[in-house]
Amino acid sequence: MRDRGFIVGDRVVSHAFETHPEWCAAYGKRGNYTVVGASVVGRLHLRDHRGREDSFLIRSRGEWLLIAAADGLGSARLGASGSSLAVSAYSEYFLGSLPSSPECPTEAKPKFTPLRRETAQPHEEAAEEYGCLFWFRESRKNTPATPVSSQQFDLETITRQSIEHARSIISGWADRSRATMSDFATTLISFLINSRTGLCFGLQLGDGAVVGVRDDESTLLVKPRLTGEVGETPVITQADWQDWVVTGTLSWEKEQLHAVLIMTDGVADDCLYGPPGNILNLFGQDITREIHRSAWPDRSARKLVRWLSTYRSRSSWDDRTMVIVFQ
Amino acid sequence: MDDTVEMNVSLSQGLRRLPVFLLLDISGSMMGAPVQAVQEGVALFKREVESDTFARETVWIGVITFGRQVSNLTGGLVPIEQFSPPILDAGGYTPLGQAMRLLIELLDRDVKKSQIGGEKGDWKPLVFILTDGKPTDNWQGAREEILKRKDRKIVQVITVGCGPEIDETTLREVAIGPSFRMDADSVSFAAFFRWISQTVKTVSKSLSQPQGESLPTPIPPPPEALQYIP
Repeated sequence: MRDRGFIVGDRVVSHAFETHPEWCAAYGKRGNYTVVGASVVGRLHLRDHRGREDSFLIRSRGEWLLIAAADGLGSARLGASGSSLAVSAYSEYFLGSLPSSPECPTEAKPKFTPLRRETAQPHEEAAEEYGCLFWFRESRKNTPATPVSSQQFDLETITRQSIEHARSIISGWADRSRATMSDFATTLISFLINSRTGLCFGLQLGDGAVVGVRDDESTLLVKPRLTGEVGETPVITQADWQDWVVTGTLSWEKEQLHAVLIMTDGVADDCLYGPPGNILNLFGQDITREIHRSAWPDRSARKLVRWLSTYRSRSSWDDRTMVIVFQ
Repeated sequence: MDDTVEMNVSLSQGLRRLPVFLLLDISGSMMGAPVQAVQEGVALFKREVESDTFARETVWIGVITFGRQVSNLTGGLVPIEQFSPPILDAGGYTPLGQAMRLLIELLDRDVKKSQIGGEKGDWKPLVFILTDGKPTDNWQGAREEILKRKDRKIVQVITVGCGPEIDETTLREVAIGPSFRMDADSVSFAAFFRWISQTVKTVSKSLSQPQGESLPTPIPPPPEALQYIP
């Protein structure tokens, strides 16, 4: 049986035509896990007629679900290309390196809700609404699962190899565009879940956040390594990128997670710092509750993109990207 | 379940500020038209910065004058909207070193550091020093201290000398960033303050776009009235 999977989110930026809309939402489902994500252009970029420089992808293969988000730096000439290349190349290589289980988890039969245009646009300046909705048919048969455990492979090594791969892809683009690597400067955050075992693996290189939401608290699942200077972040295109990679492995069940939030700094800055002092807990609980209020993930994705593009927080003007994983 | 209901999510009430410090020379040689032009320039700076939505939200200003005495006219950092351009009275020497020591005190006291779970930190402060002469006290130690702070907070110190009495070598040595010279007429002062307004606006905009690999804070090219000191 073919190993089915899906890819939703941002495509690699094309020079030939517009592939990086200002507002993008996507969702996916693998096993018991649902993922809803959105990325929106920042207020400042809107005013200056610049595009969105964040990118994200939700991708599955077999029982694996991978989320990648990246923030192309505004100071970099080709930040949007950098972020879209990073999430694409990294996720492709990473999932391709994982042991493939022939099991294709049975999913609930997709309920085809008619696609309707929202009367409320994500932002008043939105000329068009973009989005991607995919359905794959249910597996015709299931073959016995091959148990996969973290002992069988080294996620840390795969991570570094995947970043190397992403860097080589970016380097190739840089050569063809007569640009330098730093023109594509971008951060990279990723979260991997095995939908059968609940094994999770987080990566962070640069700013942003991977937050675990539990009953009573929300915490950073990956503690990023940063320069300590506001406005500066390590990026995957810099020569010493290896020094800035932080990873973490955990179990969804053991950690008693309700949801995991993967976000670029445009959102992270609005929930990591107070006042109030317990803002991360409040934010985690609120987001999880609000996302659960929608019956279907496509509606959650629409709600998320609308909220991200319209919420107001002082001195918060950057592109905003957030992906939420929940059971 | 109602999908039309907007999301109700708690958000940080914190503000990431862009601290801007103006160190203004009001020594005796600035008496008369020059100090009047500086005063008008500071008022122009306030108007220009306030006119920009993003800068208005972010810029907090601190003014230090040095002449007869060294004073912090704003009592620390104040939001640009609450800033009242001061009336300046020129006289005395040029104690730049003392002014820089006061700046260090304000950096320690008023500039916030980022702490997850704590406060949103401030952006890198921008410091402009305007002088028409040679410092009359020791400034080297204070500059060294500011430089040493680089591990904790990066500060760009831009020096501008006005009039015929400036010492270009000292201006260059004091600066942590570029140095400029200009004439001491009202047109040049206006151009200078308009340019620092532009710089502040540019920086406040670029701040929402983090820089990797410690790139320098971008500043717009200066107007014709200001010439780089190489």
